[in-house]
Amino acid sequence: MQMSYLQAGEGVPLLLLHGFPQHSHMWRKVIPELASHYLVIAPDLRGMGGSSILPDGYDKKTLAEDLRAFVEALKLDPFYLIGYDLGGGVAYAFAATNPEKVRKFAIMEYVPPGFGYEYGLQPVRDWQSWQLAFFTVPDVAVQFIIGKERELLAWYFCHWSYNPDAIDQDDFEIYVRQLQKPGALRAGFSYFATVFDDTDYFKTLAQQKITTPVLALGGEFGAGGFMVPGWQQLAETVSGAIVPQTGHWIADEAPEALIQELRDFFN
Amino acid sequence: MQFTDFSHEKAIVNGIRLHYRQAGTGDPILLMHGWLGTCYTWRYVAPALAEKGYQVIVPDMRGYGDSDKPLSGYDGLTLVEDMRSLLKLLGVTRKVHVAGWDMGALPAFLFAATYTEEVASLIYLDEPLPSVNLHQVTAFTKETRGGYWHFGFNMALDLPELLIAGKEKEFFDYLYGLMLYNPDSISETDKAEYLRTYAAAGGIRGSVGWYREALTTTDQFAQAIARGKLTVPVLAYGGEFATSYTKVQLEPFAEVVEGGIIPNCGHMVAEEAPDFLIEKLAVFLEKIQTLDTAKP
Repeated sequence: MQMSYLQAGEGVPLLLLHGFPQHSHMWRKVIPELASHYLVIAPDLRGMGGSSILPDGYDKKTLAEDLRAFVEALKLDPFYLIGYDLGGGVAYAFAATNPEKVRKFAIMEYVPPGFGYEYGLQPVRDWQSWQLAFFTVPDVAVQFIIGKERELLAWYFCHWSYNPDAIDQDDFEIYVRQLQKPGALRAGFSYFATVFDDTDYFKTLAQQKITTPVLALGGEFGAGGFMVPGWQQLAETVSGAIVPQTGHWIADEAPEALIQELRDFFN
Repeated sequence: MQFTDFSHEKAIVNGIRLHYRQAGTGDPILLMHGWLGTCYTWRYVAPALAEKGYQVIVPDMRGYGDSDKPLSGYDGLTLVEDMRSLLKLLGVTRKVHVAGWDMGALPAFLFAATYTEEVASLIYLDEPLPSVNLHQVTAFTKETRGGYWHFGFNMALDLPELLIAGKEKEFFDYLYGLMLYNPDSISETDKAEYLRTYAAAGGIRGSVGWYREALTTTDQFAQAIARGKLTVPVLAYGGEFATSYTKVQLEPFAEVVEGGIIPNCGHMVAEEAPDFLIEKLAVFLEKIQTLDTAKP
């Protein structure tokens, strides 16, 4: 497969893994500052952004194998790894299976299924995470959402943010364009549909806690309170922070606070 | 008997849920529809055969109609396993007549070539032969007037799903214009029945599955043909204005081939010329005495 990625700076490599419904563009506000300290690399994961849209392989084990092939192709030294949202599942699968490659591991707005994510699949009053369940049936989700990619993104950025204006119209259009490509919705929803296989895989991985130091970050109005308790099940050393006045979109809504947290942790 | 007299049943076979209809008792005959069809393709032929004393089994193939539309498993031999699993589940032990139209003819051929001892006869309707000439009719040439473009289109990952969605009826109407000799053969009611499941979730994707795995199926044909001629009796017909060479193309690859050309008929033979087909099928099937293959 072809993988598209952004790269800037020099120094110790630092990898940024995006989530859904975004791609590497989500890191635009933090890359310039981080690039003055690190070799920053932000790939588009399989099926997203500029990378190949393949028929399958959206389970997190396979996606971590994509990442392994990617860092080998780039001949990267051990690096700092940052995983956001569903990219956090890829990052965890990679960190757990390639500990020698990962210096430190920062995780944002994601707790793996089997360890917290599954609560989002349960209907509750004012359910805000219905898509975690709906997207497990990609054929149906595609049929209802195709042609309404804008509306899907508008819902996402409205309901999962503290500051809905953090994503301006130009950025919004860039995300829309990615989702309108043939197969992009199907591929994106497959990240959710693999939750059952992922759960089994993560439970196997979790039999041994990772020893790599972990920073668990969540937005005050996002997954903030769930991050540290969630990750303490999976890693030996977990520090954490709740980023104030921020929803799910930390890199868009609070880039300066995010840069500070990452700088403090990696130093 | 009417097609509405056929039962509606569902069964988990070969790891997926298949919807099928059946009626009649006697020697079993399996009717496999093609691209954009469903069991409804056989609404005229199936009741007539049931009346003549056959157990008529009419499935919605994997990816179609009210059957499951899984992501994979659309190559010919996997479709054969779907059918064999269904027959086993139904307790069919007698040799079965396997009939297929359009892309449904491919699993029919592979069934007869691979599990000859389970098959009473092969009925192959209006379809080229993969590995023999299919690549010629899909080719971009003057003789083929550009070829069967839909093979390439259907193989393009995600593109038919994106472009056809919301325009399913327009797509059907365009294709019927190409495929039918008599445009009245498919009524608005018939279209609505096909669109009911085609325009539903996963319908477009399910319908192109066997195109996306057509090259695998072509390899399976090459291997089957290399093993020698078909030994079961073959009945093959093509529409005069469609795959008229359907019978002739099979002659080198089968010991006995009957059939020919259906006059004044396009591609959708079971819907355009049901009376002709029923008459020829009845004569052909009656000549074949099947034996119970049940083991003591």
